[in-house]
Amino acid sequence: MRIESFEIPGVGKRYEFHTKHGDVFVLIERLDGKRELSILKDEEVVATVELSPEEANQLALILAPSFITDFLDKRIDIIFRKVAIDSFEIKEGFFASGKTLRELQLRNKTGASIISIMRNSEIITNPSPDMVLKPGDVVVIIGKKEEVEKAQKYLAKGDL
Amino acid sequence: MEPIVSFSIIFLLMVGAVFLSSLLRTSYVLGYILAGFLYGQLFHFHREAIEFIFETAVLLLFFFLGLEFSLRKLRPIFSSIMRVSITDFILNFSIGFAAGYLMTGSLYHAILIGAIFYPSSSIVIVKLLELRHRFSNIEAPIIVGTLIFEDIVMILLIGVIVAFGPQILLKLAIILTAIALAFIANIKLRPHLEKLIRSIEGHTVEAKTISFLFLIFSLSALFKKMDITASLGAFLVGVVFSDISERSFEESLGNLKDIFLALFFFFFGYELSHIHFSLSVLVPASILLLLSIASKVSVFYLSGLKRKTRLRAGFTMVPRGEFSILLSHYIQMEEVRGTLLLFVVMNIFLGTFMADNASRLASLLDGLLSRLSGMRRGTSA
Repeated sequence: MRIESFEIPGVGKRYEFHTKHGDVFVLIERLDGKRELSILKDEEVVATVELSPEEANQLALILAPSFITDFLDKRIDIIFRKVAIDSFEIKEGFFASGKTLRELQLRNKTGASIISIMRNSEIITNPSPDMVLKPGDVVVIIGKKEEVEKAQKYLAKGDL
Repeated sequence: MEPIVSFSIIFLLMVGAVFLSSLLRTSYVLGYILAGFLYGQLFHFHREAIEFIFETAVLLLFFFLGLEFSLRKLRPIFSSIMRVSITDFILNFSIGFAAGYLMTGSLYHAILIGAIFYPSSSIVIVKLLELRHRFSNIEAPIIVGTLIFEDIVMILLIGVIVAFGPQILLKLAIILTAIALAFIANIKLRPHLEKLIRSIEGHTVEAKTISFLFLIFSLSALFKKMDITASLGAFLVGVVFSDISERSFEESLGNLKDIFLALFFFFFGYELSHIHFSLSVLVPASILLLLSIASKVSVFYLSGLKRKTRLRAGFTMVPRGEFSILLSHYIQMEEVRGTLLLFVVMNIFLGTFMADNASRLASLLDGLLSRLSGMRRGTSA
């Protein structure tokens, strides 16, 4: 699949996908987190779907590589009953902004862990303890529901 | 009237304009111009305050244009848009230049009118593409890339226009050196600049907003003192900080820019209400309008897209806006200024309608052209 991307100033990023079979679809990733998915035929948009950030996350999980979906299928009960996975954006002025994961000691303080970080559309899995969080980073947190909520509060304000 | 009362009326009219535009699902710009025109028919506003609003809006606009100047982001777009962007410049600037020379016989005014005629309005077009969910269209990257290219050319053209006079070469040398230095600072000092922004952000968001307003205004004032356009100063601050924390700039200064730009269009409408357009300017303004539509619709001929898509992209690019309004203030001949102002306002209204209905217009014209070529083939057979 050929993927072309370019940034639209003040709006977000546009990805154009050309599949092996000649199909074309476009994904608009807006700065506010919304996603717009369109199918093109003969240089014309034939259908567009707008997704909220949460809906986009759900779709991404389904589209993710099979080992993740298999895991989710098998552990679906555990995931929904006991474990929560949530994403959280680091904004300017947040307590976590400019700090390393080591400095934050998130697991010691809240019980939840950061399993990956999305930075400028790049996904960093198993981030190193020396990694500095920056405004705009989206961290994926795993833990019990209350731990994840506690972690989000801690990353934003520094208190528990 | 007390300024506070004036502003309450201005903002009331602007709220009405926003609601009406949202209802009609069209660009707010038209609503703001109409609201300003209505206000001008009923009230007066302080000249100095209007000048301050115009200047601040332009500085914030140029700062954001500077922020878009990321070499990393621009490189992949530029290879695909070069043919269209160069055609756009050659075609539209030349038509404006020729019309300007015919109307005035002066080189300065020919360049000025070329620069008024050439650029499409990023503010109107990007907003319409967003409202109509048209960023998914196949031609969207070329449209946005061409708008960015136009912005780059306009920075240089404004530099030439403002520097025009006995010391033009010296002033142009200063402008080009300043732009080069800003790019070098952006590349070489990036880690330090990122650190600086983080440390300012560590205090409060307000600290960052105010620090950048200080930088924008002080560098702009310096350039103004040197008799070079003030907006270049704001643009250079943007260039130095481009590709660094763009989202946070949008959050901290984006709203301020939007408010000042809204007032910019409002007071353009206000100014129009005080101009008496004589009938003699209607014909040249209408000719310019027709040329401006034809030239923009033809721009995408070399894009490699299908005819219908090319036409849709062309109709989208018709509306002129912020640059044309700004530069029309530099015209010194009353009659020519009236012609150009009438052209700009007619183009903004008709152009926005065309950009909004680009798909329908492209289908109609494409169908017509297909029928014409079918008839021609039939006749020759």
